[in-house]
Amino acid sequence: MADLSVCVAGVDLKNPVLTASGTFGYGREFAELYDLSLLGGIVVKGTTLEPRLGNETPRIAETPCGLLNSVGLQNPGVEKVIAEEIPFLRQFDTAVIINIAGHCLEDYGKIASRLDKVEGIAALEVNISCPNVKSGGMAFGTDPKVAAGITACVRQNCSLPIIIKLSPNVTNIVEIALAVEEAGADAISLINTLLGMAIDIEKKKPILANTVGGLSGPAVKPVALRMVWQIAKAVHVPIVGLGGILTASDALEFIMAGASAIQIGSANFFNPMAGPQIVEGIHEWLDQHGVKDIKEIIGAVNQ
Amino acid sequence: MNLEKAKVLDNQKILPNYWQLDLYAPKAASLAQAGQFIMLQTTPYAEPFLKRPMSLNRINPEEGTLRIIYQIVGKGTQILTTIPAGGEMDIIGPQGNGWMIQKDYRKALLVGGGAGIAPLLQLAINLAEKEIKLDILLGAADRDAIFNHQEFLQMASVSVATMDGSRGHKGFVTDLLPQTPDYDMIYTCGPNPLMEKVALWAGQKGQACQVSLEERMGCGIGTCMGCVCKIKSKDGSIAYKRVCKDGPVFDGEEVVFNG
Repeated sequence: MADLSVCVAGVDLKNPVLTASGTFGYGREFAELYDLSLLGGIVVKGTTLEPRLGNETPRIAETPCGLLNSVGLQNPGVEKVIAEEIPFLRQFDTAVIINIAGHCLEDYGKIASRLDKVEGIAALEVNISCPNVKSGGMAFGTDPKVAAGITACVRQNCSLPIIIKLSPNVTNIVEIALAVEEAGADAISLINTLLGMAIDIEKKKPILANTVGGLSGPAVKPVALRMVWQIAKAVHVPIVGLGGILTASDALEFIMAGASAIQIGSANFFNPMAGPQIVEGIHEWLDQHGVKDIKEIIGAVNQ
Repeated sequence: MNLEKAKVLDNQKILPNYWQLDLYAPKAASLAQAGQFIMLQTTPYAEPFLKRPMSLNRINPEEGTLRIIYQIVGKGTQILTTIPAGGEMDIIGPQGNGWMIQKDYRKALLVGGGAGIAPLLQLAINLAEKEIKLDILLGAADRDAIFNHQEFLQMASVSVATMDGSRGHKGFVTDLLPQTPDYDMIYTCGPNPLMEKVALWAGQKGQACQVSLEERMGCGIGTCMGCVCKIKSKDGSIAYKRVCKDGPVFDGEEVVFNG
């Protein structure tokens, strides 16, 4: 069997397959289906300092080969996550990555500091790219200076490895990636969802209560792949690629484009067994192609 | 949680816009309770991308079968009509909490509207088996959207309302709600305005009421927070609960409709 282990942001992962924030909750439902230790890591639901109610409904609109969501970071708040969810996740032999989000710079500093000494956290993924919250969210991830400021703030407030999650809703994503790398990001994950919209023509109204939402699913994969490839050529820190990955072959595309690890997002809805199946599929492909170590093919298209 | 490959035993049109799907899914059938639902994948090709939540019209654990009655509303349900007997589809389920039934009930009212009639049949069967007396009110746009009428008639007195008057009372099914109800429980499933009216009426009359909500779902297993509804606690605070996991059945008094 090929060696699937990779290192991202100083975190050793047994394999490059992680689950994406917001599509896996805190793992409880999926733990009923398979051993979460099969995964390289789990990125939990976006967590904020205070509990968040989230947006009005409808929050979901199906679109061609994907969906729009405007959940708006509904979550129980960091204290409850520390008390109830992290202890649950600690029992699995997998990297637990906490996705954090905030309203303002200060929030990011506070939540990073709060999580810093909590046992069982491998890394923080910093969401500077949520399209579904009115203040902060995506606005943080579309300006290189602001993105760098948040990165630096999280860096100052914790010693955990930090992965900055970028928004694709920008003109020049390379500029943002370089800014957060310079500010101290240990890794970069991308893409968050693409801002989109759907309309109910009978009601002459947007389907989503929030009017706009984030597009995910296979529909966004080519865009995500292109951005991963662009950034892989520009930065030195490891990249975690995501956006529409449904199969092992999709995952391998991202790895060849330069991602050291990948995340499975909406595919968890399409196929709840996607995680372990993609790990298995990557194994099979490497074995069939005589590749002994997955690290040999990271960024293969750029070599 | 149960993932299963269900086999299509029969899939046929029963009314101009409604189809009846019989599935062989022994594991799901052995676990399912009235009022629960399954997530059903209409195609393995990721388009349409999401599974469809489908309420259970009949559950037969002995034969390992489930019956679903579905209305054609979009691409997913259109594709579903093309799957012949012998075809297979991935399902997740049963999901959700199901209807709550207490042993000491003596009399219950069921109010269904449109596609929301579907999950009331298995409920009625279960209630009738417990010798609970039933009154049933069914509503729809027209007579071509009233299904299971005969099955309900075997168990209860049934009143029908259609918006065009083509069967029963002309108007809303809620026009048929009695003035002086004396039920141990009222169960309702249908469009939100119908359930809101039933819940409000039940509250005014001091009657307990369960509503089965429908919402657009992402995962259908409790992770994505896509299908939430507003629930009011006793202390007046509002929280979003997941229709797929915390519901679909809620206490009518707790649900904040239009929000």
